[in-house]
Amino acid sequence: MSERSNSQREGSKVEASANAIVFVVEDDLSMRRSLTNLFQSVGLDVVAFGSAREMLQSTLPDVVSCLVLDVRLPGLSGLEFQTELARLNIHIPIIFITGHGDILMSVRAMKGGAVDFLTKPFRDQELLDAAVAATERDRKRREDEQTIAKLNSLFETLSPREQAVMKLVATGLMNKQIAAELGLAEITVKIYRGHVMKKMRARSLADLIRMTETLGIRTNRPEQT
Amino acid sequence: MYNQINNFKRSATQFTFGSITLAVVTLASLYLQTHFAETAFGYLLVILLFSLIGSFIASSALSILAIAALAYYFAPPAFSLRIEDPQALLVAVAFFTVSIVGTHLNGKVRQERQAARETAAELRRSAADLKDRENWWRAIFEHNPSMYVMVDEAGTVLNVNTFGATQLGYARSELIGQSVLGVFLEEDRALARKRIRTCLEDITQSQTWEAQKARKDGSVLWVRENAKAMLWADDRPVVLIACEDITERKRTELALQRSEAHLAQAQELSNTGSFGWNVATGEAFWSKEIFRILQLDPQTVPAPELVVARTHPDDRASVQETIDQAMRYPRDFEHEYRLLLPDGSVKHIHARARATRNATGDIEFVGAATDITAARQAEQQLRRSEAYLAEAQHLSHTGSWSWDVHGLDFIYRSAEVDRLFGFDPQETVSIETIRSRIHPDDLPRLKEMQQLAREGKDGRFAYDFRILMPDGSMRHIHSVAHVVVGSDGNVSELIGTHMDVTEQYAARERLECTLAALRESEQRFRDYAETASDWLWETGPDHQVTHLSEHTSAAGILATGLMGMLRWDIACDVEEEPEKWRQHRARLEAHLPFRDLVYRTVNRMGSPIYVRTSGKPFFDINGHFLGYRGVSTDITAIIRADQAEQELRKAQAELAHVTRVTTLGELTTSIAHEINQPLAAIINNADACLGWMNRETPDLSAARSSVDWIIEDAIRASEVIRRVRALAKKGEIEMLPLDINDVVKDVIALVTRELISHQVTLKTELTAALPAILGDRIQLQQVIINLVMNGIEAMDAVTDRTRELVIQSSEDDMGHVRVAVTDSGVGIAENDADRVLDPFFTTKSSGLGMGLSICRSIVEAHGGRLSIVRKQGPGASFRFDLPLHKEVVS
Repeated sequence: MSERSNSQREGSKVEASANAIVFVVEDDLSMRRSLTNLFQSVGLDVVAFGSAREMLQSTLPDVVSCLVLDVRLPGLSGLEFQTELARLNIHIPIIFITGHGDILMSVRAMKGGAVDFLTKPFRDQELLDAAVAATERDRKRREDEQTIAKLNSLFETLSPREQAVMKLVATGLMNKQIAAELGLAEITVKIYRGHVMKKMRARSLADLIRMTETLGIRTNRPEQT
Repeated sequence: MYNQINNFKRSATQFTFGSITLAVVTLASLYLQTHFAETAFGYLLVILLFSLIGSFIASSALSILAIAALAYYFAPPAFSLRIEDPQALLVAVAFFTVSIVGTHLNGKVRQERQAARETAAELRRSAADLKDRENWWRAIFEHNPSMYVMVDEAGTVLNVNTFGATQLGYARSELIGQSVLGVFLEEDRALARKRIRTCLEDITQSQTWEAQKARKDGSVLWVRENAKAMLWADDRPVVLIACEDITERKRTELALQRSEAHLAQAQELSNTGSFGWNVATGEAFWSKEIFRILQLDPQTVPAPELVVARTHPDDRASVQETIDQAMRYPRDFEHEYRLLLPDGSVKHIHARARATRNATGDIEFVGAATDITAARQAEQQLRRSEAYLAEAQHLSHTGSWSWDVHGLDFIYRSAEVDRLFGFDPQETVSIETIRSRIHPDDLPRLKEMQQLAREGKDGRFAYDFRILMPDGSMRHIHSVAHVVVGSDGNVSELIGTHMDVTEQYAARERLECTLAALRESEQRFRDYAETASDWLWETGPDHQVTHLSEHTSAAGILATGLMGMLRWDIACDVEEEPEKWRQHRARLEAHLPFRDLVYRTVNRMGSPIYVRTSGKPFFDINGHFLGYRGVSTDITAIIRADQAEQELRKAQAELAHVTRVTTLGELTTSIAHEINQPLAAIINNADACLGWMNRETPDLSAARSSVDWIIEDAIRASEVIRRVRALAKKGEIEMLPLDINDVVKDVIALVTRELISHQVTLKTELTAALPAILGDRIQLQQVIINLVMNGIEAMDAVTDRTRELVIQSSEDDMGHVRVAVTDSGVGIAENDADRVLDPFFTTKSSGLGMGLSICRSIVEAHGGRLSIVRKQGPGASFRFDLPLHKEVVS
């Protein structure tokens, strides 16, 4: 069993080892120490804090990371810290650990975007898995953020008319309908559409529509929804 | 003269009225025009009538006047004195004659009547004179203060005067006609009869004698009677007796006779003879007693020489001298001498004589000689006994006295009385001086005794008083007295003795002191024994009970019939505790004292009691063992109280335990967390350790660190478990010296999680190096946990401020270690503050309300005090002070 878990951990270790940092906020010294020890033993970089305040006050490196957070903390509690981070627009995946979690607490944590909610004592693999998953999610989030930024910059290159045509195209309207909508000639719409496809580097209509979704652009036509 | 004037007056009156009447008649006749003769007749009537008044002259004058009137008015010629008518003249003459004669006759008759009247008056006067005289004589007879009796020959009383009858107590009528012998005593009657006869024999001779008469009431009257016979009118001889009351004289005579007899008797009885001696004539008179004293024949002619002859030779000269002196100088004398009588006896004579001058002018000595032999002897005897008495009084310090209760002074006091008061018997001491030596405190009592004596009359008194001597010493006097009642029936004096009892007093005081000391000592030991025990006992050499004395306070405990029993027969726990009794008996056999043996037995009512007894052997002077003496106490109540206290303590511990466990229940989550935490760390470290080991190049150093941490965390976990177990344990209370900060830290370890979960910030302000206190760690932890938990709970509702709990430890000036737990919660309502520490008081919906109450009992059991402290701002502060561990203090 232990062997199996060890081999499993070995596997994940490779994946998770790519420059990810695990932040630990734990008031209990021995717990903090053991967590640090554990993450370090699998080759993860660990930065541990005794309290949320401590973490907020430090400068965090902008790398793939996750946060292992004790729910009960003196001063600012874990859940409050979660809210505070969200308010500060820090989207670090959080793994809650607690001595005695209850359903209400875990629901609240998960709703707040927690990756996992572990009840002490837990086996190392659970935590490590959670940490890997969290870092993975962070990595993905970071990648998504890069894609959106690229699309956005492309979208910014569109003229307002082209942007309007793009939004309507994304809703699935035909050129004629778009022309009527915008009060343009169908031919003009076709030209704008060509510009949009080109500027957005969309390979197909489906591609464009997915881009629109990624950008989160909505048309202002309520009767269409 | 008077008569003449009287006659004249009468004549004048007669004339005047007669004239007027004549005038009236004249007028009437004129008016009626009567005739001469008729008028004359009318005039005649008037004149005769008036002649009755008496004066002839006036009547004559009236007659003339009438003639004149007749002649003038009625005889013709009218209005002329001339009478012309012879007939008328005749009538006038006749008229005149008749009137004169008539008038004269009238006067004659009147004179005769007058004479007769005077004769009659004369007769009446002489009769009255006679009567007066008779009355006079009778009065003399009656009222003369002598008795007069007149009797006839037969002795019948013919008359007696009232005085006489009254003297004899009779009325006259009762005596008259009765025999005079009736008033004589029976034995004198014959004599009386004889005397009357004597009187009658010679009537010229008056007789005088004295006799007794019997009064009607039987008393006797002595009378002197003078009797004489006389011949009464009809020659009847009667005897007149005049009696004079001589009772008084007779009585005096008798008294004199009696007193003479008495005197003679008195002389004889008092051995006193009287004598008279005429110096000039040499005549002497001796009373009978003198003869008797001198043992001389009464017929002997008395003479002073006889006295000298009888005088004791030693005194003869002085007697002779006295007689010679008396003969020379007529002066009173008095002397004493002895007689040597023919029978050889000696008599003491005391003689006194007074010189008087008799009727003839001679000096005469009258005196008395008294045989005072007996008195002399008595005197000698008295003197001797007085000497004895004085000596006895002196030796026994006893003085006798007699006290005048009215005069308030001694009538008599013996010399010893003076000596008792510290005075020389020779000197004169006033009653005030004597009194001044009496102890002032005793004076009222003495006065009271006198008062009692006066009122009591027949009482006998004994009383004590003190005399203060000038040198400051004090004498105690015991006085015994009795009252003497005087002739008036009142207490007149007190007779008594004063006895100096100073020595006896001192001796008694010494004895009393010794006795008191002895009593006090006895009482003291009794008090000790009684205070320390309920009863005393004594056992004999065989250890059987010989004596039991229950104190009144404990009476009724002991069962009856314990005498003669052995202690182990009385006890009920011999079988339960054989070892105790074996040891006890061994001690008794060894004759060793024992202390505080406790055993169980039954009381009088049969209920079991516990007795604690101690005893000590006692021995006689030869060292032979006699038994044990000791005390016992019923300690049932103490034992019961001990049991009750133990049970109470047990119950309290039980309750403390229950609340502790309850608290642990409340802490479960925190405790679980406290255990979970190190367990989780252990797992992490263990996993990490494996990780370090499984590396291609195992990192042994990191693995070692991991193991070290595993051990550390495991220890931490076991610590928590130990604490929890300790709190949950139902253990004995262990009082050990403690550092209160350690206790606080233990608690913090248990409640940290609880604080965190309630988002309470804990602030600790523990003073370092506090002195140790003596206490039970668990119980003190319980107190602090309770206070912390209450603080946490009180802050649950607080959302607008920091939830802060402060635990402080310090040492105060009074030598106490103080722990305070302060929260910033809802605080305690003002009116709950007093009750917060009471059992079952709670403001929570759940909970027994025992927490603080138990905290308080625990703190108080540690000799400390739990209190609520007023605090600024919100929240409450509880504080407890614990005394320092005594060894630390000392």
